[in-house]
Formats: sequence, structure tokens, C-alpha cells
Amino acid sequence: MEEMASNLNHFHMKILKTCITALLFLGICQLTYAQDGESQNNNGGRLSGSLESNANFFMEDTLIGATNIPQYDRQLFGADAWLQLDYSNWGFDMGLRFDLFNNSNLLNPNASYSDQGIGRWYVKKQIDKLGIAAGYLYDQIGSGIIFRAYEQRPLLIDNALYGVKASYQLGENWEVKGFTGKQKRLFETYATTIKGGSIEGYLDGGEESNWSIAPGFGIVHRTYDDALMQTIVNTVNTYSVVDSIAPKYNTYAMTFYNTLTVGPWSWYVEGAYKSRDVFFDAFATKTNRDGSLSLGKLRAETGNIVYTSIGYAQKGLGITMEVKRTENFTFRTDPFVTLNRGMLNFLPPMTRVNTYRLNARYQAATQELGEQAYQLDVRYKFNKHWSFNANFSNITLLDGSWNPFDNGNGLLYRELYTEVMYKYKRLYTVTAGVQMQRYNQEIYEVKPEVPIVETFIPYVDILYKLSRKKALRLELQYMIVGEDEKASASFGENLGQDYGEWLFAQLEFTMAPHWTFTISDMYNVSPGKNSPVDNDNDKLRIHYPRVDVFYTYKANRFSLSYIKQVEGVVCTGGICRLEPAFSGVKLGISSTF
Amino acid sequence: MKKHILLLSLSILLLAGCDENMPVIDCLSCPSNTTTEPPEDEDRRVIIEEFTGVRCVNCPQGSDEIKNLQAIHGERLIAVSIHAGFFSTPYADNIFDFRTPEGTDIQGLLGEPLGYPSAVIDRKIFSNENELQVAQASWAGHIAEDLAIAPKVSVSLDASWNDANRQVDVTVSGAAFEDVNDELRLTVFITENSVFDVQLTPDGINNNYEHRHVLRKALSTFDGDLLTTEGLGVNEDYSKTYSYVLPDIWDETNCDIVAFIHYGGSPGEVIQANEVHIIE
Repeated sequence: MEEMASNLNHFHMKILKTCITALLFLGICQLTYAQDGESQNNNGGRLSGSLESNANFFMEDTLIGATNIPQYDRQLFGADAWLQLDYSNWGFDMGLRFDLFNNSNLLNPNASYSDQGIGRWYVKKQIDKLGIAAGYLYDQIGSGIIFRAYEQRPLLIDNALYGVKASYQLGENWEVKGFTGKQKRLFETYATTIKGGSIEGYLDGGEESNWSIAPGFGIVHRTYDDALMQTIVNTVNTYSVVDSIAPKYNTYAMTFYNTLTVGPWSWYVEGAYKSRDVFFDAFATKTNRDGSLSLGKLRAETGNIVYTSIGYAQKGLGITMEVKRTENFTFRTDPFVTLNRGMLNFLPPMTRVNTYRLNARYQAATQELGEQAYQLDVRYKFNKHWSFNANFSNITLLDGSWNPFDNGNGLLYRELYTEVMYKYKRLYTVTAGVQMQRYNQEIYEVKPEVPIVETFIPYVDILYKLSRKKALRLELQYMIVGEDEKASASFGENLGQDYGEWLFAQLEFTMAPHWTFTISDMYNVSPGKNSPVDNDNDKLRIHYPRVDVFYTYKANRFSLSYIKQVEGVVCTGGICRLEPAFSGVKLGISSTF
Repeated sequence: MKKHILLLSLSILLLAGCDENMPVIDCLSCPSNTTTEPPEDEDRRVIIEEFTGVRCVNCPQGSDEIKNLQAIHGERLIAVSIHAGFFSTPYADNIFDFRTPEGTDIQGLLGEPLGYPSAVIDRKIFSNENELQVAQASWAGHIAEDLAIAPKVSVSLDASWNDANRQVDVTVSGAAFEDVNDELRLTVFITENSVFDVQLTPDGINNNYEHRHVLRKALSTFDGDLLTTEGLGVNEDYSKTYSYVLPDIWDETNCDIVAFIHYGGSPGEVIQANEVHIIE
């Protein structure tokens, strides 16, 4: 009963908070409106905003695995929406965002989530050299390795810091900032408290020199709350002596970073260290009470990460080399949260961001507990017609080899991507190349006993301008994969790895400035181990068609899509998760005003 | 520049000066700290409803963890494995379809997991969680937390088995230890242990995997039969009986009756539970 009353109070508080916030915001807007009429920009004030809305109509397709979740079984419809309003006046910036999730599959692709309310509010003010902000804040230190409060809507990540921030300009080129608060958890916050700060600056050799440096130092301090610590203690209490750890309430993460620029060269380096932190390692061996071993336990270790990027850019040539080594650098608000939840930091991905459908099918999610990686990217523009890009990345576990030809244990991901572009006047552009990958599906998708997926993908993209406003674009990709010998032996015929070989074709017709139509098909030409079978246990060659219509009018964009999509890893901004197959219709609206 | 260096030095000094009193860790897993005594009526029992599926590669890892926790907590930890959701569609080689309509309804009631292994403990949202489904990492902690709470009611189980018609008759009874002024409901399950069938594991498909405490049937409605809308006064008792004929394919010697009292509404936190073999 007490708990019910507490929940009720909490609910009332939530409504009250929402109402007060909304009223305050509307009151301010109303005040401005009343003063100056209907202009968006009046009395120095400016009201702007955006709406993003997605509606999904779920159409069950058991053949491709789009089934067994509430949306396919009974709900049939799901929607997500974000309405952001921003207002600036009297030196203040303030904003309010309404979030809605209605039988949404964004939070958990295998489940349904419904809730709505004020997802964000903030107030900011610059007072001479002092900047202050309160509310739900997005910010980061350095490249985000020790702290990044950010939003990725496609994966429903909203790691805003609910708290306050102050910054101060130290001279012309230096700024110090400090913040404290809690991390947002949907419409609540985590109980863990966070505080941190950084100092960043910029120095150069003067007008005659060609060098500059932009150094920075940051620190973040996280303190677990009592209830969470009790859960940790209760958990560790069940461990055997060999697995027992001594958890601490407080963890500190600190980082030093600098960008040195000399002429065409640019060198970014960041080194970070995390004091002893409790985290869950799903692959760590635990000794059970009966002496048996199982996987998954809390560990308490220090962490470190080194990341560097060297770039050279001059006269059509651009070269970038990146190296990163990560060890025990998971940094979360709560050691028990998993996947994309409760992340305080962001570890930059070390692979190329591929956009073509088949080229992007296998993507390497950052392994925060341990990986070493390097990436080389070269771009060269020969002349106004021809240009070239090559990218090579190699990611291994900490005990893996740096040798790019070593396919031994520890290899997580390797990719060679080449691209040649030919542009003929403004009439047409042809982009073509090949991509080769090695992808450790066992680790990235937790699929047991599967081999490293080996792909070879030739592709071509032809853009042809039919007229000044009309254009036609054709995309073709073919994915060849290696053989899964174990699966072939048990199935009795040659089977490719994962889903086998694919053909993807897309035709896009654009009528500027309003309409774009696309039609595409991803066809499982030669089914692999994981491709569905029919009643006779024969592998099926399934089509995954997609039709899209996009309409853009001024700052409004509408999309309507019919989609059949195979399961796969979806990444956005370097954060990835395994998404199940989808079958249905999607309607999207995005608008800024 | 001097100011900046000073600031940096101060930060590092502040860090160096930080120390804390660390919590004390016991070793419940150590033989000296574990009890094998069966619990009394006044002892709290906790129920863990594990959501699983034969296609869920990581679920055996969760089942192993439950086995380990049962070894630590003995009969005070009652487990039910509910096959429902995305990974529960049987393979062609499966002997059993472990899915049940009640299991699907319960998953709808308690919510789908974010990932697997996942379980609901005492149908309770714990203070540092925002949903009922919790990942394996936090099971041990939440179970210990609830085991420390005294039960408000007792749950006694009496099962009698008729071999001739394969019928089990169950009486669930008990009384309140203190005033409980809320709607109370009773949920009763039949579970089966040691069912050997196909399961995906990290080592591949295992055709002879031992499935434990599989939910076979809910004798009550999936959200519990109403016991009282007004609650129970101190020492006020309750009793309810159920009968069910077991299908031939279930091994009655491996079947258990699980019963738990919980609040009404959704999700209805569990306040006490019990378990008994159909054939002792």
C-alpha cells in the first residue's frame, strides 16, 4: 500500500512537473506573442522548433522472422514522436521537448514500449564570460571517451545529463567548465550522480606561423547510490572467494587530449584512465558453488584507452590514420544495465561508416571491454573527373595480432573498401568499387560456433541527370560470402556463411525539389546457413523488397515506405544493436519551423 | 597559463585525497555461510520467473545461474522458466513446444525483456531498475534483497496425486502475519523439471539439453485468482483448491506445484511463495 501511495505520489509529481514546465514555457511564449503579435521573431525573441514522427504498421511475416512480438501479434501499430520547441530572448535560450512512444519498438526491437511526457527542458544564459545551463543537457569532453551526453533517436538513446553546467572563458582561447547531475533514463533519471569538468584551450604561433595546438583535460566522477551499492554487495556476496571483488562507490575517469596542427598535418591524441570500477563482464568465468563454471560476473578493474588520429590534407590528397586501444573502458551509470543503456561515455568507432545496403550489412560495434584497432583512409582527386578512396580497418581483441594478414584468433573485424568515382560534367556520376570484410559474428551477434563471415562485395552507383530537376540513380551490389563448412556438412549441400549471397538493386527517381521515389530489392540469391527453410527443409530464396516515396516541401519532409527487411546489425553514430527482421509500412514526418 | 596549471594541479590533488569506506563483502557461497535447512512458514521465499526460449543462445547461461543461486539459497528460491516471446518458437526437432498461452499472457503482463537471459523477481520493480525484467547480472542482488524482507502472509501447499486418473489435487492455504489492506491474488503453476529436449547453446544446438522448472500450466488465471479485495487481517486465513489431470507426456515425478500470493493490478508484487513436488 505504501508503495502504491508512493507510486501514485510519484505519478502526480510527474504530471505536476510536466504541467509546471509546460505552463512556464507557454507562459513565456504567450508573453512574447502578446507583446508583438504573430511574428516568430519579435522583441529580439525567436521561437523555433522541430517535429519528428515515425509510425510503423506491423505486418507479420513468419517466413522472414517478423513475428512473435506484441506489435505483430496484436498491437499492429506503433509510433514515436518528438516535438522540440526552442525559444531565445533576453539573453536566455530555453527549450522544451515532448516525447511520445506508442507501442514503440525503438527501445527494445523485440518488445513494445509506451509512454509520453516532457522528454527534455533546458535553460541557458550567457553572462559576460560566464555561461550557465540547467535542465537536460547534451555535452561532451574531448571526443567523448570519458563523458558524452547525447541523443541517438534511431536506437532510442537519450543520455542527457539532468543537472547544471557552468562554463567560464579564461581569456580569449581558454574555457573551463564544470557540471553535475544524473543521467536521463527515459522519463526518469538514474540514481547515480555524476560530476565533472574540463579545461580546453587553443594556442598558435601567430599570424606568420602554420602551427596550432588545442589541448584539453577532463575529469568525471561517478558515485553509486546506496541502493545500487547494496545490490552490488548482495550480488558479490553470492560469489565464491576466487571471484569476490571489493566494490567502491566512487570512480574517476580522466582524459588528456590535444590536437596539433602543422600546415597540412593534423594530429589528435587522447589518453584516458579510469580508476577501479565495478562492471559486468558477460564473458568472464565464474566459479559456482558446486565448483562448476559459468559465464558472466561483476569485475572491478581499472580501465584505460589510447586513441590517436593523424591526418594529412593537401591538393586533392587526404590521408587519415587512426589507432585505438581499449581496455576495460565500459563506463556506465549502473553496472547491471546492458546493451545501449546507461552509457556515460562514447568510444569512437574505428571503421568506415558505410551507407550502401549490402556494404553496411556487417558493422563492427565497439568492444568496450577490450579491443585494439587501426584504420587508414586515403582519398585522392586526380582531376575534375576522377577521384579515389580506399579505406582499411583492422580490429582485434587485446591479444590479437596487428598484422593485417593474420586471420588467427582474436580477429574481430577487418575491412578493405575501395571506391572510384567518375564524374562527367553535370550529366552523370559513376561510383564503383569493391569491399572485402572479415566479421566475427560469434562475438558481435553472440551466435555460437559460427565462422568468421568473409564477404566480397562489388558495387556500382550510377547517377544520371535526366534534366535540371530530374535524376535517376541506380545502385547495384552483390555480396559473395565464404562457405560455412560445418553447416554444409550437416545440411548436405554447400552453404554460405550467415544468410549466404545477396543481390541488392535500387532505382531512385528524383524530381527536385519535392519528390523522390525509390524501389529496391534485396534478394537472397544463394541462401546460407541462417536462411529460412520450407517444409521440405529446402533453403528459401527470399526477396526483401522495399518501396519508398519521399515528399519534401520547404522544411517539411514526409516519407512512406513498404519494407521487408532481413535481421541485421543497425548502427547509428557508432553505436550498434542487432535488429530483428521487419515487415510492414513506415510513415515518417519531419519538420523544422 | 599559470592559473591553468594551478587548476589542473588542484584537480589532481583533490582526486588523490579522495577515499571512502568500502562496503563489507560476505561470502554466502562459502559452505560456512549457507544453510540447507528447509524454510519455515515465517521464512521468506522468493520467486524468479525466467523468460527463455529454445532458440535463445544465452538462456542456458541464465539457467545455470539460477541453479547456482538455488544451491546457495536452497528451497527459499523458487524458479519458473517461461518459454515465450521471440526466441521460443520450437525447432523442427523439438519434442515439446514449451510455449503456453499462459506464458505468453504472463510475458504480456510483465513486459518483454530487453535482452536475454532475463527474469522477473517477485514481480517487483527494484529501486535501481525501471522495469520488471532484469538482466542476469542483477538477479543475485535482487533475490538477496527480497529474501531479507519478512513475508506478510504464509503459503502452505498440500498436493495429492491420483495415479489412476493422473489427477493432482492441490490445496493452497495460509494466514496473514500482519494486516494487509490490499487486493490479494493467488497464482498457481505446474512446472516440470528434467525435460530433455532441443536447446540452442553457446556450443551449438544441444538435442539433449536438460530444461528445468518449465512452466507447463497455470492452474489459476495467468494474472492470479482473486483471494480478497479487502486484504487480510492478522491471523486471518485463506484457502483455495485446484485439480488438474496431467497429460501423459508430462512426467509427474518431475512435476512441481508453485504458488504465490501477490497484490492485484499490474504487475502485482509477490509477497510470499511456496513450492511442492506433486509426488513427494
